[in-house]
Parts: sequence; structure tokens; C-alpha cells
Amino acid sequence: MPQRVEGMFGALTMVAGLVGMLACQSVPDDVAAGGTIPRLEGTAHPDIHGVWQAFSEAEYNLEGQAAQPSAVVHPGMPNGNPVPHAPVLALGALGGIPPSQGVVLGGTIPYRPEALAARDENRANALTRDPLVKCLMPGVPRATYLPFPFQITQGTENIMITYGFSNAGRTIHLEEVDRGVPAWMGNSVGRWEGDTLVVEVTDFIDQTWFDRSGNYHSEGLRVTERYTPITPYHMQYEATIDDPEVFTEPWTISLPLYRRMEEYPRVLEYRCVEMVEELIYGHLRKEQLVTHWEGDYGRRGGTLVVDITRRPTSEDLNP
Amino acid sequence: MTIRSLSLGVLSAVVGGALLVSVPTASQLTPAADWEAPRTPWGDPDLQGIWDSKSTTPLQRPAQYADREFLTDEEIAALEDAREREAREGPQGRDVRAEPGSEADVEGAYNNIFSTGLGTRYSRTKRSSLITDPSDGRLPLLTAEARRVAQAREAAAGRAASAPRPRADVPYPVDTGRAYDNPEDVRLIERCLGVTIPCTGGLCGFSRLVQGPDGVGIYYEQGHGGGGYRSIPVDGRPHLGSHIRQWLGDSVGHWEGDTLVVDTTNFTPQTSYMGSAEHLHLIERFTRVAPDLLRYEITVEDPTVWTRPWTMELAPTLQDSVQNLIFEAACHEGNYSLTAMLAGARIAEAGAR
Repeated sequence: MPQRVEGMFGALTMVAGLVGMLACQSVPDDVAAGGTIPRLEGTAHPDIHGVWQAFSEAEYNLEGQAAQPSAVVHPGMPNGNPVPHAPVLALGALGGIPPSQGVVLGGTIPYRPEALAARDENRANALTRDPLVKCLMPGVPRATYLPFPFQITQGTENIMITYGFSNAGRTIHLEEVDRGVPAWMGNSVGRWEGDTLVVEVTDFIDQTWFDRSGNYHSEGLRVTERYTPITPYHMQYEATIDDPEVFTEPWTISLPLYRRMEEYPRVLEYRCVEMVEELIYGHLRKEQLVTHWEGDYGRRGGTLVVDITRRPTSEDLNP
Repeated sequence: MTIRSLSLGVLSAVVGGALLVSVPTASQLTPAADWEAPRTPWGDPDLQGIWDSKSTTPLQRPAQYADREFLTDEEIAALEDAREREAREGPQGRDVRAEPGSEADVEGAYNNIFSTGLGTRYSRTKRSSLITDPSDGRLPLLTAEARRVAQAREAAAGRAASAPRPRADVPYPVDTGRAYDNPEDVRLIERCLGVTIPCTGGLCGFSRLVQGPDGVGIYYEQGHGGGGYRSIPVDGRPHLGSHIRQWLGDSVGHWEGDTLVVDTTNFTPQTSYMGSAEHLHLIERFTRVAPDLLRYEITVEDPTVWTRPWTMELAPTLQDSVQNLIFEAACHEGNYSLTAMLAGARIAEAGAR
């Protein structure tokens, strides 16, 4: 019996390997044969416990793009010259957007025409609309490829993922459970298909995005994730996005995840709620910290008109 | 059978004898002699599941129990009956509805969700208090400095009491006199800054524990304040450098026999557990003592606040994993209240001018 199980895993690993190659990732032959992946002690499953991170620019734009000077450019410059606009100008070169090749299989996300227009509008207003600007939870799959590490704690009935960003996390149920209510991080039910952890994520709300470029979904979103260990140090991550209201067909992203190799890696807190209080509530302070702040930035967008000039201090006024 | 489990067997027999007369004399959270904790495939005691740490057991021993460490089953039954009656019929009961549309009705709709947060059940420790050490079941004395800080805080609260007074038509405390000049004036829980530990009972009632060979993950639901994920490495690593401070501190775990011991330091000065902040040191001990029961001991130490360490014992009970009644706590995502509180204060000021 154990032999039969191993043989089945072997065959499925081969399939997973082929899928990986189709996704433009080369998989070493010896690894595809299942030789070097560590096993969770006392089980036949791969051991994926640890701290992982995507070293990818997927977060900026799943479809890839040339480098940009800033998330917001000054309107009306000669020849459409992209000049960083006031809210991010002070960040200089640190506020630029790195170039990327894209992680969408086939290159382009198959939007319905009206949905593509909505995506483009999102993109043009990303600074006020991107939920992550306000430290809202990132959803799935975006949490995976944010430029933050995440911790996988691998249990027998559940796998818990703790993300660095915003104290977000989720529990992947390996046994069937009641799904509960819609959630920012969805509800995750997983199973092992050979050496691949397959996770079906459903019950989303419609407020999360896929990246900083306005790619979005409806609450009908269903995500199927596949985590396939390739070596002890990296695994291939695929997420198939199915949302008929927004897309003409399901589409898939594929990117590697890497194990953090520090001696004692850990996910440190990035509790961003307090970091965005000035952004969200600054206009409601009794004494505002900036000289001019128009409009209510609000929780779901709105117009942000900020003069970032520092208020004069008493020293400035009475030198 | 090991020497350890033999001695546990003897202890259990003693406890069993005590139960016959229904006056416990030793911890109720001792494994039965013929019971072995379930094991993970890698051999550790299995602590996984959704655990409910809610109970009505008070933190400190009430005066009427004086030198009594444990209550009798009859006393516990009477306390639970009273609590159930109160929850059902009392002014904060879920079924009570003030005049629809009235202020009390609107505010009550919110508060009733949380007012029964402790539940109605007494802890299965059967102790007269959560605190087991000091032996009088009471918090140790504060240090002189901590007393001074506490008095200053009370004085400050007194000065701010120009504000909304408790109203007769609202059957629970309304907010009293805090400033709303800045978001930073508002309490952490209302800013949705997330869980702080220890996180037990009440709003922190439910937690999920997931366990791997090298580490444990705990999710605290803490519905109203924003939940929290906590990772506890169990791999022999040292603590973070002392300059790295976190809201949940830095936790490292190790096994002592069948007990998972978690040591936590490196708290941020912004957190506050009963006045203890960056010097807080927690030692938590998790032991599976029955199919549906954990023994969860928390030792709290902060020489700048208390004159000695103190320990409490809780008895989290296992919840149905298929029902899966633990939810994502998206507090900040829905925090329209803080906007309303600050905007309301600005409007009130404008009206006063």
C-alpha cells in the first residue's frame, strides 16, 4: 500500500512538473522526480512550513510594464511627460515603479470590455482607490506576492498562513468545514494532489484588488491556488482566477515563491493601521498637521487634495 | 508508563476522591489516569483546534471566598444559573428591545452584541479566581512607580469629566469625557489596532491553534478590536534583539514534557496590559488535559509594575471544527466609527463657537 501511494505521488509530481514547465519555469529533472523535497514528519506530504516570499514585481502590475516614475503623474505636461505629482513627489526615486515582465500566463488578463474600462479607471485613480493604501486586507492571491514575507504553519487539519502586511492571515482547511461568511481573505479549503497543495478560495467580498494597477474582481471571484514544491528552497505558485462577471474566461498567474534562508527567519509585524491614521483621519484633527486639506479622503476613494507644506511652527512665526 | 504519568495517575486518583464530596482541593486540569493526549504524526501532544477561553470566573478572588481556592459544584451551578437568568432577563439581555428608534435602542443594538462576551459558564478550573499565584488569588501589589502612574491617570480622567454624563435611559456606561482631538486620543480597540496579548475571555474568547513540527500559529478572533495572527517558532531560536519591539512581542516556544511553554518579550511601549508595556514578560504553558480541554497557564511578569510575578490558569474548551465558528475580524476595514467620533467632535466644536 505505501508503495502504491508513492507511485501515485510520483505520477502527479510529473504532471505538476509539466504544468510548471508550461508556465515558462524550468524544473530540474531530479526534482521533478520528487527526490529532494522534504516531507512533513510522519506524513507523505511535502513540508512547506517556514517563511516564504515572492521576489517578483507582480504586486505592481500582474501584466507587467516598463518602469514608471511614480504612481501619480502631473497632468498636462508637455508631450505627456510623466512627472511625479505632489502626493508622491517628495519620495523621489524611492517612489518609482519598477519594471516587470508580468506573471499572467498568456500575457493579458481577459477582461470583459466594460470591466476593462473600469480597470483602467481604477488604474488612473489608484492612489485613492487601491485598498492597500488604506491598509485594508489584501485578499487572495495578492497577499502572496506583496513585497512582504509570510509564514506557513503546517498542521495536519489546517495550514495557517500569516502575512507580514497588515496582520492579515488565513486558515486553509484540509478537511471539509462549514464555509462561514464572506471575508476579505476569503474562505480556503485545501487538499494535496500528489506534492501540490491545491486550495480553493471562495466567499470573497468585492473590495480587494489583485495589484497596484487597478486589476480587480467581483464578489463572484473564485481562486484556485496551487503550491508545488520544486526544491527545498522554492515552490511554484499558481493562481487561477475565475470570475465570469468580470472576465471572459478563467486566467492564471504563475510565479515562484522562495524560502527565506536567514538562520532564524520570521515574519515581523507590519501593523499599518496606525500608519494610515493621518491619511484617513488627518482632516478630522482638531489641529490639522498640514496647511491645507480639502475633501474627505474616505474609506472607499474620494478626492485627496493635499498641500504637503508643513504648518509653520511657533518658532517659524516668532524667530 | 513513565514516572511522570505514574505520578499524574496518583494525582488524578486524589482528585477523583475529592470530587465525590464535590469540594476540589487540587487543579481540576489534570489528565485522567487512563487518558493519553492525542499526538501529531511527529509525536508532539496535539493542541490543535478552535479553543474557547470565555468564562465568568473573575480574575481576582472575591472577598466572600476569602481563603477558598475552589468552589463547590453547587456554588458553580448557582452562579451559572444566575448568569443565564441575567443574560436572558437582565437589562443587557439580547432579547430586550428599547423603544424602536430611540437612542437607547440604537446604542443597545450595538452593545448587546458584546455585552454577554464572557458567556454564562464558570471555568472548569472550578477556582474562585483565575489567579492561582499569589495563593490569595489576588494581584500582587503595584510598585511605587506604577501606583504613581495609576493615580496620575485617574486624576487626568477626573479632569476630563466635563463630558457626556451617564444617562438614565441607557442601561450601560456611556463614554465619559475622553478627548477626541486626534485619532491618537481614542482607545486602541476603537482604532482597530489589533489584538494585544494576553488575549483571553470576553472578546478574545475564540482562538484557533495550528501546530507544525517547528512552530505553532494562533489566530485570535477578537471580533471588535481586529483579530490577530501570532506565530510561535518552536525551534530553539533566541529572542529578537531588544531594539525590535512589536505589539505581540516576540514569542519563542519549547516543550517541557507534554507542555508547550511559550516565552514572550520585546513588547512595544505602545501596548498596555494592565499598565504593563515594554517590560512585560509572559510565560504561557499549554497542556492538553482532556479530549476537549486545555490547561492554559499565563505567568505575567513586569518588575516595573508589580512587586512580584503572578499566574492565572484558564481552561479553554475545544469547539466543533466542522462548525468552524471562528471568523475573520476585519475591524479597520469597517471602522466608520472613528471617522464619526472625530467628525462629531469637530461638529460639536463648530456648534459651540
